[in-house]
Amino acid sequence: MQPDDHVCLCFRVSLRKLQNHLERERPTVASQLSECLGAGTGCGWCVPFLRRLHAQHVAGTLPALDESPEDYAARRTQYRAGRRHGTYDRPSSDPMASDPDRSPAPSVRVPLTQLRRGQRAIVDCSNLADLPEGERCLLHAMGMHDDCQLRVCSPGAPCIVQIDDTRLGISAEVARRIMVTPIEDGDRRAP
Amino acid sequence: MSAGSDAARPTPRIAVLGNPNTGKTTLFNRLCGVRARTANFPGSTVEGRIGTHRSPAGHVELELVDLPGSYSLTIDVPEARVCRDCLQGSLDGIEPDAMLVVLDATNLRRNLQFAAQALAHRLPAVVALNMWDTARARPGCVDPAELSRRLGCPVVPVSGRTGEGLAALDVALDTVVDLPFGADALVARLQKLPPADATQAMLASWADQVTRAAAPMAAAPAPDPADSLVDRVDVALTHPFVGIAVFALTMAALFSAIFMVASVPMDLIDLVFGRAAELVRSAMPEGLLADLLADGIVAGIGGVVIFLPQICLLFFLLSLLEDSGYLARAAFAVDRVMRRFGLSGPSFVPLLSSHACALPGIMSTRLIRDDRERLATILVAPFMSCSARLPVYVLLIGILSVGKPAWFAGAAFVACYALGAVAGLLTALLARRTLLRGPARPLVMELPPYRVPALRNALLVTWDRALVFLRNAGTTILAISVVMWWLSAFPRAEGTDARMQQAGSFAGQLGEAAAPAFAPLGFDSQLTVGVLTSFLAREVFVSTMGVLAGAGSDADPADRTVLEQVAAMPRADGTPVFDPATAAAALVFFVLAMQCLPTLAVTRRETGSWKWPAIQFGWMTLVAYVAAMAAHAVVRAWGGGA
Repeated sequence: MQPDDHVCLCFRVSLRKLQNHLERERPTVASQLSECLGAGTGCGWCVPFLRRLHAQHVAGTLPALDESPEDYAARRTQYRAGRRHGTYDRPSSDPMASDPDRSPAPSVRVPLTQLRRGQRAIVDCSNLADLPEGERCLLHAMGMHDDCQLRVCSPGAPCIVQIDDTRLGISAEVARRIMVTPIEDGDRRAP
Repeated sequence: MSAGSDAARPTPRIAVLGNPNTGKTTLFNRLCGVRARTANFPGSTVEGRIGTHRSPAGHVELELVDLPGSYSLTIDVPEARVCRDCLQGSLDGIEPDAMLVVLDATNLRRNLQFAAQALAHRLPAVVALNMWDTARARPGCVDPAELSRRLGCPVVPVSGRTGEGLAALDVALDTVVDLPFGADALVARLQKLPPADATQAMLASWADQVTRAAAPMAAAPAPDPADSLVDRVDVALTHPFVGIAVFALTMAALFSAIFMVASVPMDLIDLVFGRAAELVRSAMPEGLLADLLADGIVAGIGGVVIFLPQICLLFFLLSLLEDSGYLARAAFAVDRVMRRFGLSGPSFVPLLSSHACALPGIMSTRLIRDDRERLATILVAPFMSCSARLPVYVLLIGILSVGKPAWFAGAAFVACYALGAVAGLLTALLARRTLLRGPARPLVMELPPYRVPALRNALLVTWDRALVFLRNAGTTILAISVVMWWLSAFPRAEGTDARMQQAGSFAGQLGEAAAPAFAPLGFDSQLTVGVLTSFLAREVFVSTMGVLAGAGSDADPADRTVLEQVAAMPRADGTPVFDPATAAAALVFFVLAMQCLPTLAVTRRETGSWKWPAIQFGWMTLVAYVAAMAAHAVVRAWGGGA
């Protein structure tokens, strides 16, 4: 992948921009890369790659990705299509699948649909802007607002979450737009 | 208390409002019981209940208005609009003197945001802290006195389920309607609340602050082992396959129960009204008045009351299911299937109910939040094969399957049900792409906790629905029956037999005139009369055809069953009326046609205009006509024609 190729295809954030951001801002955690033009806050595909870039930077090497841009984009398309039907499993070559400790690592924003059952997370509603106004207000009024804490009762898309004592059923299109920062691992945590 | 001093004053009116699932209606039922009636709020299809509460002290009577549950007062949905208009006093005839805000004490943070919006209105207020029995049992439970200081109005802990705290609530309501509530009182309250233009985030942080102050000892939500169990149940019940299978089984059980249990009272009602009609005939001199009373009015009332057992049972069982928390999960599970047809989870129950009868099906569309989706559901509900079509199916499939293998009749029944359902879903898809175009509403719904359903509530809901049905649909059905009787009884053909009367009446003349229109379907004028009379109520078809066939045949009718008589009916030229092509066309026509005036009346009532019943009637008749013509042509080409 060349410096001008896009890592975050949703927000068209190039590798060069990310390299410069890492150099200039020296973020302590990978999730802070989202401050670089919103990288990783769209479909969520590039999140593991952003983490790899951050890790390389912390290790002192020049952040780089050896995937070819074509292959990278093709796999993302597959990921998005699979997520629409809830069938996608990241291949074992995928950094997220190969490293269980990082899946999904705390303090990284991911779509709500990627959480596991029982996992708790902090909500970020900033991606809901393209929902109809009425639905957004309804979600807020039901308790789903920025910085509230939720617990996943039934994972995936559609999903069921619990906020305080309220259980909400959320259809796939809304659940994908809700970004969350996991705060603890769910009940599948290895002993 | 000053009840005596101002006896001339009208009954104080109190608006009851709150979030959905706060037990508001349970509390309302606890206060009003059967002294409540369901009413549509002016200018909307939103329904609320108005009841009177007799309090033991002070004001002997209070009028309570149960407003629809809403998550917020500022969002643009019908329920929120009604609440807003009511609090602002712009809802004609229901200007409240005070408000009772019902909060769920176990879910204070969210409920307080609604309370802040409600309390900003210029009305004296009482806050009922409902579900107190559950909340009190938790560690660090909220302190009502502190909450009252924070909200600037009395806060009364109550439990609608157990009845705890109702006496204190009475006192608070009595006091609040008697005290003057001036601008200064409002200002004092407003100072405690977030500003009127507060964003949801500001509301949330204010609610958080108040919750912390009122319940400082509340522990952070500890992982509850029960949560994990409920999670597992939720996962199963909303699973794409398991969830839908469980739902299908539940509904199958529900409808079997309705069919089995309702058939007893329905037969009884049929019998009683039949006897009553006979009694009227024998008690009165033969003539027009006796005919009108027996065939028009008694039969008409019977035709209304006969629907009652099904409607009552359906609403009773649905209310139990809804109360248990299951119905919300089921709706959530079928959402993804319904979405493909421009409908959503909540439309499924009404459509399923319509297989018993479209009337309760259409009445239960009130569960659907989106207006366009609700209209689409109402529009297609009559396509589902209701129980009134069953006798017609039996007759026509009986004729069709003569000389066919045994499986044929069963397959034909299944095909009829499938044809109706498919036509309905495709119509919904078409409507959502044209007339009722609109964004598919993304589904976000609250899944209330599982609980043991309250029998008392279910009975009150059933009672309420039965009254609404009798009052509104009932009067229309009765009127239609009288008109129908008149059409088939006039002009009088004295001294002739039933067949001549039928043929010579306005209905018969109409059949003769309309026969050319039905000729492409292979219908002759007799069958046309049968079809035309069944536009009022399709179950009439069998009796009409029975009358025509019985009167027309030379053999003693007692020797043969109605089915045999009708199957052997001759046309004017001697060939049988029901050749296979005609029978198939008639069957398809009955599956798809809108032949139920009561349904049109209920559609009119539920949609508030004649436009929708007109569209429903026009479209279904068109589809039925075209499909029947196609069926006639296909069967004839296939070699089945006469």
